This record gives sequence, structure tokens and C-alpha cells, in this order.
Amino acid sequence: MSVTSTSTAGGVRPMKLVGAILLTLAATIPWFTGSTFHFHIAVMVCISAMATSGLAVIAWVGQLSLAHAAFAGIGAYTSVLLVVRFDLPVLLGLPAGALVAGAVAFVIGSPLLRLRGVYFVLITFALNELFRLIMLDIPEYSGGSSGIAGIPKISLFGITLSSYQAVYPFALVCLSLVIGLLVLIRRGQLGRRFAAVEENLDLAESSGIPTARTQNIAFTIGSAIAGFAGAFLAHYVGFISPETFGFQLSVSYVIMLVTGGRLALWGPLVGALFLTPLPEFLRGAVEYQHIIYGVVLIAVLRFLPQGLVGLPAQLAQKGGRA
Amino acid sequence: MKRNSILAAASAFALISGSAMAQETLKIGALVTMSGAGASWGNGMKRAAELAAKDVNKDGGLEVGGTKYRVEVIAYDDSYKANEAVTAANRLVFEDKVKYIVGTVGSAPILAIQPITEENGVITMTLGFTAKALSADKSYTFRPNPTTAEVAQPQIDWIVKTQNVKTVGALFPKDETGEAIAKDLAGAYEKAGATLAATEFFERDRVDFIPLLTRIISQGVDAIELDGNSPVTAGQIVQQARDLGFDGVILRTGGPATQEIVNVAGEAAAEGMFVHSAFDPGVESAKAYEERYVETYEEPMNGFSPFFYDGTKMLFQAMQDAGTVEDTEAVKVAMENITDYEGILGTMNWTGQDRYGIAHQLDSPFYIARVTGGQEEIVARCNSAGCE
Repeated sequence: MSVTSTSTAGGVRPMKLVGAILLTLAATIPWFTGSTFHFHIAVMVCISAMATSGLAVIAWVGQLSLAHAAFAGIGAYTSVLLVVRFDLPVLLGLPAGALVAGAVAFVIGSPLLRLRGVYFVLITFALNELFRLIMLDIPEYSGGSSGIAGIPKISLFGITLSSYQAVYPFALVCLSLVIGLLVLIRRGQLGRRFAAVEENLDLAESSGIPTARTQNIAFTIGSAIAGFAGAFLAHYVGFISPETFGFQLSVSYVIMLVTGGRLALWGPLVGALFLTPLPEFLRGAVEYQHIIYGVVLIAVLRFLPQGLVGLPAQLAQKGGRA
Repeated sequence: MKRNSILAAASAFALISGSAMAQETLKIGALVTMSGAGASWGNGMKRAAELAAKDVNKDGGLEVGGTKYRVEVIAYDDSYKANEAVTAANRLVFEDKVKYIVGTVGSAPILAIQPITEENGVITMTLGFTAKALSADKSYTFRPNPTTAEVAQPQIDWIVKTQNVKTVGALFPKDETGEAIAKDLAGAYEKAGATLAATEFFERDRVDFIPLLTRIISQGVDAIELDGNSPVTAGQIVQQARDLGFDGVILRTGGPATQEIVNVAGEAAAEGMFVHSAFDPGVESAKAYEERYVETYEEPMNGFSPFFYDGTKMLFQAMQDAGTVEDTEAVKVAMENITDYEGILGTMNWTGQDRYGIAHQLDSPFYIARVTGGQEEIVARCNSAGCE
């Protein structure tokens, strides 16, 4: 399935409009309910959606990274160390986290991306573990297993966003910027190159597309976005440890991406919007939470192979047949 | 006659609704680990809060400042993860509006939720072993259970002296709790005249300890220390160490877990182990609590549970002393002022001013027991000064 074919599928435009309205309405829920907890969940959705968007960019060139949490961790530690040790404003720490994560991805990307499919998945899995173990072994920088507590909150031009209600609009702005970047990539020449590489690597290569460089660009951009999301998470939650960025977090991002729609532009956002609050409905039902979570995931993957984003198209198709 | 019955029914209804209005609900959060390796600790804590709540609800509720409160425990699982704990804490504090939380189990989770709980004046009672959990600037956090820092030295002194132990090997989970305990134990063994000669760190979900134990045993250690490991993990280590032919002393100087260890390792493997014990079954109230726990939940009781039962009861008393459930600052002060509390485990007092800078650590008697036929048999009685 090509990237372009999903984005230009005809006949679902009204559905897309409905989707956009629903997303906007979902974004305003916390203001309607006024619940601080809902603001917290909404901020977590934004952070997850940003990180998953980064993973989507990598998926657009046909690769699946299981080191995404590690890049989020690199961004988080970079920002926290710069802010705590060098008194850098958080507003600069966040992009610095993205830059360092992107730079690391760029350096290791060219040898790693020679691997494809399951081999790339395995090597990135190993990378994520390597990151966690290295961080555990340098407690003077990472806080070791104790982690770093009391991380300064996000502040904008001297104003600290101390309440969840204040953080949420900023999180929405950041998420919009990330999605805006995705739209730009998707509509530009780079997006077409990504799609060609994802569709058929050999054909793209023979057409003169520098496939290795294209994949590395996607890996760098995706990991930089993860770094930004990780830095945001660190300053929002106020506590990080190497365990925060373990393999499980990488898997959660993959699940969000696949559930939302692996190649769709809005897939990461929809996946995060669905899966971040889901555990909250199940938190009290300890005995059944993992079973229910599993069943929901299997149902989505079985009946919605294009992810939740494909639901309107599938409904429209069924409606047409009827 | 008919009119009289209507009047009687109306007055009865008024009486019922009147009394219903007088009783309010007091919500207590239980933010504990209910899935994964730490679940037996978490369930022990949650159930302790539930049993304490049941006690007061049975008498019509907790009477504070002339109002009766029916106590409701809201339990959430944190899966022993800091991020999960933060979300659950947010939910408890802002959605469920609780002002008292029993939890967390883990050290990293308590450090992660303290910015929320301390800022919002929410009293927490944590099991977390990290020394950083208690400090002068975290005045709403209390710890009702003794940690390795409190109990290790007297027990290790006794074991080293009576069992002629010179070198010890130990396995710890590679996290905040494990590392804090490893550091405490290394110092305690050195002070007692022995050395913690071989240490191995592992991921908490590990189940195969043969490679780690082989390395430890090959160094010829006299004893293997299990402190810091979850009850189930400790049981697996005991079984695998004995399978490898280790016939030295196996001991656990902190964290009551005997029943779970025996269940996992089997009676034969656990025979002769020295364990830290939180209570003396000879004490009637402690024994009664254990029986009640087993009868209610049909599972063996984790040894931390009684501390949290006493801790929750102390919290109730503090609310009554302060005459409020809303003003947690007043409840906190009343809690600090409780002295010589007669709990099910014995007489309790707050300590920790010297060690942590704040006296929010509960001090209680403890014991060294030898496992005989799958049961604890007390061989020494201890307090912070020593064991005999």
C-alpha cells in the first residue's frame, strides 16, 4: 500500500471533515469538564501523539524502530541536564533534546538502515536496551536507577506553566507544530521520496532516489521528534529514570501507531487518542485490565487493518455497497 | 388509622434519610502494585487499608468532629512504574479528590508522585525503601514499615556472630529499591565484620538465576542474602540456589516474605533459612490479624500488611484527634503527635529525625526467625539497638 494512495482516497472527504471536527471536539473536552485529571490525560495524549508521529515518519520509509523510547530518553536527559546543570531555559531545552536525539540518529542511522525488516527491528530493540543499561551505569548524569526528581517545569518567557490547565494549550501548540511538519513532509518532494522507498526500495533506487539517504533523513526526523516528546514528558512529569524509557515504551508507541494507522497522516494522533486514556477505564479492574486491553487491540487489528483512521473509509465502502 | 400509618411511614423515611445525610464518605486511595512481581506487597497494603476501613464502617463509620464517615478505599494499580503511578496519583488527587493515599510500593513511584501529593497536601503512606522518600521538605509522606536501614544492622550483627558468616553473596533487582538496599547492606556487613563479597544485579522480571547464582557460589560465599527481592523472586532464588547444591546459610534480613518463599521454593529448600519477621505469632493481636486476612482473602498474608493496617488505623486516629478530614495539615500534625500507639504489632512510635531529617518513620519491634517445616520459628527478638 502506498502512502499517497491512502491520503488521496476519494469519496471519504465528508468523512475526513467529520473526523477533523471530532478531533477538534475531543481536544476541547478538558475545558468542558474542567477536570484537572482530564487535562493531565489530554497532555499525555499530546505527548504520546508527538512521539508516535516521529515513529510514523520512520514507518513511512518502511522501517519499524524499537529504539524510539531510547531517542525520547536521549531528548529527555539532554534537556533535563541542560536545564538543571547549565540553567538553560526549558524553552531551549526542548529543541536541544530534539537536536541531540536527531544527531545521534543521523550518526548511527547510516550503518543501521542497511538492515531491513526483522533485522532492523532487532537491532533497534538492542539499541533501546543498550541506552537503558548505559544510563543505569552512569548515575552521575542519569541519576542511575533512582532517576532524577524535581525537574523544573516548562516555563515560557519567565512564566512557569505550573498547572495542568496552563500546560495543555502549550502541548496542543507543540502537537500542532509536529503534525504541521508531518503535513509539510507528506505534501512535499520528501514525502513522495519516502513513499517511493516504502513502496519498493529497489525500484526507487533504480529511479535515481538516494534510498539510503532518504531513509536516514526519515530516521533522523522521526527520532528528533521523539527527542522533543521525551523532553516534554520529562519537564511535564518532573521525574525521569532509565526505566521510564524502557523497551515497553517503544512497544506502546508501535501499538499506538499500528492501531491508529501505520501509514496514515492522522494515524499517530488517533492511536494516541484511543490508547492513552484506555488504561484509565481499566485501572480499577486489575484482574481483567490486561485481558481487555489485549482483546481491544486484537479486535482493532483484525477488523481495521488500516487502523482506526481507516474506519470512515471502511464505513463509507459498506454504505456504498448497501 | 390510615393517617397514622402514613405519618409513621413519613417519619421513618425522614429518619432514614436524615441519618443517611449525616453520614458522609471518606475516600482513601490505595496506589499500589497489583500486577507483576511486586503484587504481593501491593495487595497486602491495599487489603490492610480495606480491613481497617471495614473495622470503622462496621461501627457505623469513622466519627470525626461530630460527623460519621463511611470509609471507601479506591485502589489503582501502578504496575511498579513511575509514569503509571503519576497518572494514577493525578486521578486520585484531582478526579477522586482523595486526601490520603496508601502507597506506593516502589521507590521510584513514590519519588515520582511526591511533587503532586506534597504540593496538594495529600498524606501518603509509602512502603518505598529509598531514603529519599522521607525528608524535611516532604512533610506529608509517612512510612509505616521499617526499611533495611532500620532493621539490617541488628540482624546482620546477630547472624554474623552466631552463624560464623564471613563472606556473603547477594542478588538485587537493578532499580532504585535494589540499589538502595545493596548500599545499606554492604555497609551493615562491613560494620558487623563480614563482607558482601559477591553482588549481582538483575532485571526485576527475571526468573532464571542459575548463571548469577553460579558466579556467586563459585566465590565460596558462606551465605546468600535475599533482602530487596520481591517475595516470589526470593522463592525462586532459594530454590535455584539449593538446586545448584548451595548448602550454606540463606538469609533475608528485611522485607517479610516467608510464606511466599516457602510456597515457591518448597518446604525442603526453605528449611533452615533465617528470615526477618515483622511479627511474633505469639502476640495475640498479630496472629488474629493474620487469621482474619487469610480467611477474608484466601491467600497467605504478606508480612508488610500489618504495618499498613496499623498505619491506616493511626491515620484514622490522627483525623479524630485533629477533628477534621479536610484539613490535612492538621491531620499531619496530629499524626506526628501520636506516641506509644498500641498497634497489632506492638507499641509504635515515630522515629527518623536523625536519619531522614523528619520523624515520619515508624519504629516497631522485629524478629529473626528460622524457617522450620515451612513456618517461622522466632530465634531472636530485636529493636534498633540489637537482637538477642
